[in-house]
Amino acid sequence: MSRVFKIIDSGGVIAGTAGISLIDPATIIGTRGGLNKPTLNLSQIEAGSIVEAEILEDLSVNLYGSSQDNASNQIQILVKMLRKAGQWWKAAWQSAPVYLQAQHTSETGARYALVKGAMGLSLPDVFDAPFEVDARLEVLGLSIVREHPWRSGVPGTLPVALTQTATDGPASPTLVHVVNFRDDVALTHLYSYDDSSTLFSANQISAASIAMWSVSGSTPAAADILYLGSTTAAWHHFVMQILTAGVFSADVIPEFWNGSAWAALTAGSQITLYPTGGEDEIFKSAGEWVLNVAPPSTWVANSINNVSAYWVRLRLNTVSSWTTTPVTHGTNTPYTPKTPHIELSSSIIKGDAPPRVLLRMFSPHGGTTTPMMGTTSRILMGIKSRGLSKFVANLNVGNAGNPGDWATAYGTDTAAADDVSAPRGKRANVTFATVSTLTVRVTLIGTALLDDWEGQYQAFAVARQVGGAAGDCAIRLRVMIGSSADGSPVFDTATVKLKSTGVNEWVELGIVKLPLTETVFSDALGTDLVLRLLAERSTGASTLGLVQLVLIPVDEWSVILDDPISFPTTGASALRGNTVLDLDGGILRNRTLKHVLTSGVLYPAEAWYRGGSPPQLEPGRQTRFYFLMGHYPTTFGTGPLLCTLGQHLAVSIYAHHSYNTLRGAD
Amino acid sequence: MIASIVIGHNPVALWERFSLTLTRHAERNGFSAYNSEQRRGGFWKASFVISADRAILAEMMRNGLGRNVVAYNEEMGIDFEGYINTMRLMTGVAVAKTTLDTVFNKVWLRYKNTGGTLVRSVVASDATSQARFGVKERVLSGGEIASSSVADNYASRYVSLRRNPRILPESVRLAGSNKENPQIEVDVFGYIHTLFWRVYNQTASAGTQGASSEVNDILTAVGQFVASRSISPNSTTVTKEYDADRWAAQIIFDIAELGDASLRRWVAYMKRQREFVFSEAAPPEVLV
Repeated sequence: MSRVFKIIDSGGVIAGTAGISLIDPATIIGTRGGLNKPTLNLSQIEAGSIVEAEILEDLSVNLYGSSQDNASNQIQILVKMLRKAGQWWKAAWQSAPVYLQAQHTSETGARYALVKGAMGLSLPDVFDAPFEVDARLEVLGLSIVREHPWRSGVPGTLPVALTQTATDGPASPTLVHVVNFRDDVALTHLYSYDDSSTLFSANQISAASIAMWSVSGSTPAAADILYLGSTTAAWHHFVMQILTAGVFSADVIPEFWNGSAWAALTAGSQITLYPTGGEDEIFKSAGEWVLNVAPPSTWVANSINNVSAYWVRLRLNTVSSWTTTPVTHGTNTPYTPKTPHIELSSSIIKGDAPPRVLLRMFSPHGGTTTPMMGTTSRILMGIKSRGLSKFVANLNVGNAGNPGDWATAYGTDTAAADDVSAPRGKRANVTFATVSTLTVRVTLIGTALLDDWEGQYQAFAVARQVGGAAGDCAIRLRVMIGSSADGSPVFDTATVKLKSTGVNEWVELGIVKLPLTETVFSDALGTDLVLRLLAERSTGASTLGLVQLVLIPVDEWSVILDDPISFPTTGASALRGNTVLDLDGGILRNRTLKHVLTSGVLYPAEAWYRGGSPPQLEPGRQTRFYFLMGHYPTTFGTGPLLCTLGQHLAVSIYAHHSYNTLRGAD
Repeated sequence: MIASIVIGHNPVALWERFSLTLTRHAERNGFSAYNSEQRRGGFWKASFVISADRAILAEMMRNGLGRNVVAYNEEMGIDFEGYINTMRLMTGVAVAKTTLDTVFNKVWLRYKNTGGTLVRSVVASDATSQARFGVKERVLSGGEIASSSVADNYASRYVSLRRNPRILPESVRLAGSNKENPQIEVDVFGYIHTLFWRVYNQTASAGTQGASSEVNDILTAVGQFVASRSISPNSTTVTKEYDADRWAAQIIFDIAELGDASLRRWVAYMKRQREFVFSEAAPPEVLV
């Protein structure tokens, strides 16, 4: 490997795709000790945000021309390159950057850095001998300002997606499905039903190579059905990896059991599909298909093939033609996403400084021009790299589906109630029958869990006021350390009124620090953590449903991504089918951009608001990104945001790893 | 620490669609020198400097007044929310200023006629300006005017002159030099200021009512920028009649100062997402 130190403009408009080498003995080469010897100061070494730091490369080179005209031409190209570099940072029209590439003779990986411009350029006396005689410019001074630190990839170029830690699906994914809750409900049954023979397939929930709608090799026809069910509780997501794409023309109707009949699920508000297309297009391409459902409150279990479960079925209403039956992957079995985070293991982020990171979020298909589950308008994200063995961001208030270390106790006028819109089908119901003033309604006790929860969080409740006028009910979070007994250290958030009725809304409770002060690594933190929800009803006869308590970590990095509501009538700026949101910390460009996805190509559409810094995570640390998604209730831009089970994003993550100095074999 | 500042379109007028996220030391579109202040009324004033492409700065100077601004901290919190009230383009040599302070699109005169009776002129309005910035009123004092048409004409001329903002030179430094990268210094006002844009007069309904009902009535009448309300019950009796051309915010603050029957202090303010709050100053349980 020959060494590399060159300056390149993306697209190669000025100096070709090879760029200008600064160590080529035939053209430009550094003087002895004249190349790449920057000094890093403390703030550059400690730089937390990748968009903040820059460094001066004070270069000293000799330029050899075949003639004076040739030398002049080389200088002109170099200056044009530096002008272009500056334009990338200052002018909106300049969409291609200029960067440095460096690599040493035995260094495995190249490193790159955006050039911000030149602080100065000094020429020797061009009327003196070396230039006059040999067309040689000796000791040419070139002060280049570049971004710091170096990065592992070509600026403006997307690397391959990082391998994430599997959450619910197969190992080593590069795209993970994120949902809006956490529970332990998995689908238990998958049947195909052949109407002509009135036969069911065997339960294929753990099978590979499943032929959809086919029973013992039958060719699917009208009235055949694919049944998906869980005997555990109501469920909301299901993934099937298709290996053989279906070729058929059929009217596919997704339905749920409403207690007396099968009723169609409404696209957008009750069902969405990933990656694309309406129900009639399901399974017609290879890859993962995600079925996201949010049936109405009438959804109940019923018996199919002698199995009582919460069923959703895909019925072939009519079939015009059937050429190829879709078949699932030969190894990967179907699975149920039920995790609101993605994770990178400690070996994924390399280098010695925070990387530049791009999160690419694909939205499922189904949303229309009315706010609904399928039109996500706000995404919250926070990362956490410590205490991950037991930490969960979403705790269920319905006393179902929480990790075993958590116990739930109900206070005054409160009891668990069935609710298919809540995780594991349960919520806490506060009747205010005897006490309507502010008092403890739910206590969640995490036994010896303070260690994993140590940190700072933005706390949210997902709650629903039933009846009355918006704002009649209000809630508060109380944090207690060590015990729920009076006298234990306690912190209360503000009391926050609900802003709507009849829907599961986000209630933002504020910042919570656990424990109530800062800690050091040697502090003992293996004590109980108590989280209490207090509620009051100021007037009227409403009741209150408490669904989830969500703690989004904010002390390492967090962000709010917001729909700009650029067209409230149709909600055109919300995420929906065939749209992709990039949170880019500088791989392509520091931006938050919604794309339109057409035939596999991403077309830039409009910027989303970003409340927060670009993603910041430390190299060499296991890190999770926790998500919370919201959509507007009835009018785009008019809150409160609703948190609906069934909201879904498919997330890939890309990184340019960062290096203060050399890259080596990383 | 402020992580980003998001500038969006005027959320009420919606005459345009705009989205610009500014980050610290960004490739482009950055901000610096941020500071904010909260007073009675909640978010009061913030300021910062935009560093961006010349085309973006020029567009901001032309169209930026009234745009929504949200400053986010590193912890998902909103440090400030308001609208752009004033911008100063700093080129190094000259400073050019544009502001909403001098924009008015609904104006009338109070004056005495020759009989000594206090009367008002007709209201002069400009619908185009109102659709772009929201309704911004001004009441002029006319002294003694013999003819109502003189008063009416004055109000009409006043609106014509002030319905749109202007970009005016504020200062020129003779020894200055052009900056390579011009900047805009932005003053942002909290939305509570929009209740100082509007006069509240109400004479159709006589008598008295509870303080919270009165605050609700005022917001319904002139709270154009109030997106939602959190009005706690307060039965302190106040008048329903107002006819003195007073600012809505001033009336509301005066009502809040009356407190309640339990002698608690009350406050009125605007919080994030343009939510108006009228409530006791502190939760009852922490009172001693």
